[in-house]
Amino acid sequence: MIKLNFGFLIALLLISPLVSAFGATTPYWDDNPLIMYPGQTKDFALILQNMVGDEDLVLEAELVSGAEIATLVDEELEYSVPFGRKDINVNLRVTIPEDAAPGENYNIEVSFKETPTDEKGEMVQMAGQVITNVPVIVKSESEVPPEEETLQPEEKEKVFPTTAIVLLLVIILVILVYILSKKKK
Amino acid sequence: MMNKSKKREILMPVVVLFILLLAVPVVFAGFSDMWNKITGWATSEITTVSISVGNNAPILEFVSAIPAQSVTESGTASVVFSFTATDIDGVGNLNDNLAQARFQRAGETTRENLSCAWVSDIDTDTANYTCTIDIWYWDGAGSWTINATIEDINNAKGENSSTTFTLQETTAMVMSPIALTWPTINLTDTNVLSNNDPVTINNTANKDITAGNVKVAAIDLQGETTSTDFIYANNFSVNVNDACEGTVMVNNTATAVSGATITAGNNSAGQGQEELYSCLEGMLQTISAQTYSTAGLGSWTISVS
Repeated sequence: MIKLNFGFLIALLLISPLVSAFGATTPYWDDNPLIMYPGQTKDFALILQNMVGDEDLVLEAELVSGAEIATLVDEELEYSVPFGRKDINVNLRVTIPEDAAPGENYNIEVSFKETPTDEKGEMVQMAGQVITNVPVIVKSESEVPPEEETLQPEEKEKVFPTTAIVLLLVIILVILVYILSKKKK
Repeated sequence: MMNKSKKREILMPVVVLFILLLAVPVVFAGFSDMWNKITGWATSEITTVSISVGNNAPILEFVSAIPAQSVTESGTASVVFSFTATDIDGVGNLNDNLAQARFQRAGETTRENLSCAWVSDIDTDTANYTCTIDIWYWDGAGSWTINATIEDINNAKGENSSTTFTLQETTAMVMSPIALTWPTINLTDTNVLSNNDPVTINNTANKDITAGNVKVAAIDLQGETTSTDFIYANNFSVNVNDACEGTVMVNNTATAVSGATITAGNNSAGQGQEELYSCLEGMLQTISAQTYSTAGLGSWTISVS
C-alpha cells in the first residue's frame, strides 16, 4: 500500500502565521463610479490597511483589468504595510482616450495579494487576495462634475450685530436730519 | 351782598368735599358698592393675567466639513468634527449637556454621540462644540448625513442636517487558517476532506462580497522528493458545506466557489462570514509516496472582490 506522508505538517503550522488580514479602500465603487470625459486624465489613490493581527505585510499590486485606461504609477508595486497602518497609498492614473464615446463603461480591477511564504512541508499554503473594482463611466465634458474641492463652509455672518445695527443707525440719522431741517425752516 | 372772597370761602370746602366723595369709593367698599349700584358698574370680576417671557431656540449655524472617510477593518474609525450653536438669549441659555450629533444614512444603523463636548464660547451668544462618532467596519459606503442638535435650558431645540460626508468602500477579509492539511492518505482513497478546515473568511469591511466573488485559485501540488509527480489542482474541490463534491478547482485559475457570499456585517454576531471546506476527490494512481505541497509551484489564493 502506498501512502502519502503529510503527518509532520501540523508541527510546521504552529510556526506559520495563522491568519491573513488586510484591506483596500477605493474612492470610487459601483454606487459612486468615476465619471470622466474623453481625453481627461485623473490621478487618485487606493488605500491599503493592515489593522488586524500583529504582522507587518507586503502586498503585491497588480492591474487585473482596465489596462487600456489605467496604470499603476508607483515604481515599486510591492507595498510594505506595517501593522496598524491604514494610509498606504497605491497611486493610479486613469486616462480616457480622446476617441472614447460618451456612454462607454470601463472597469478597473486592482488586486492586492499577500506575498506568500512558501515553505517545504506545508501541504497547501494559501494567500489572501483582495480585488478592488473601480467602475468608470465616460460622459461628455459638460456632464462631468468639476473636480471635488474640500471646501470649508463659511461661517454665516451674524446678521444682528452688523447689518441690522448699521441699518438702524442710518434710519436714526435720516430722522435726525429731517427734524433738523424742519426746525431751520 | 357777599363779596367775592366770601363766596370763595364758602365754595372751596364744597369743591373739596365733592372731590373727596369721588375719591372715597376707592377706599370704602360700602360707599363704592352703593355707587356701583347707582352706576350699574360690576362689583367684582375675575381676570386672568398671563405674562409671556420670550425664549429663542438655539440655531446651529456651522458644522465642520468632514473629508471622505474609510472604515477600519474589523474595528471602528473615529470621526471628529465640530459645530457651533447660537442662542440670542446668551450662551448661558445653551444646555451643554444636550449637545448631540448623529451620522445617518437610509438602511444603516445611526451612529451617534449623545454627549458632545463644549469647547469654548466664541462670543456672548455662540458656543463651539466638538464631537467624536465611531463608524463600524460594516457601515455602508455612500453619503452620510451629519445631524447635530442642541437644546437650551427651556428645552427648545436647534438642529442642523445640512452637511454630509462620504464613507468610501473598503474590501477586506480575515482568513484563517492559511494552510490546509490532510491526514495520511492512501493512493486509492477518494473524497478525503482536509483535517483542519474549514477556512473561515470574515468580511471585515463594508463591501458586500456577492455570489461569484469568493474565488479560489488552486495550483497543482508538486512532489517534494520526486518533482515530476503531482496531485493536480482539479483533484480538489471546495465547498461551502462540510462535504466533497463542491466546486472543482482549475489549475492556476481563480474559480468562484458556488454558494459563497459574504455580506458585510458584525462578525461578532455571526454575520459576514463564510466557511470553505476542501476535499481531495482522488488522485492519479501512478504517483509516488512522498510529500506533496505548494512549495514548488506556489500557494493557492483565496480572493474576495
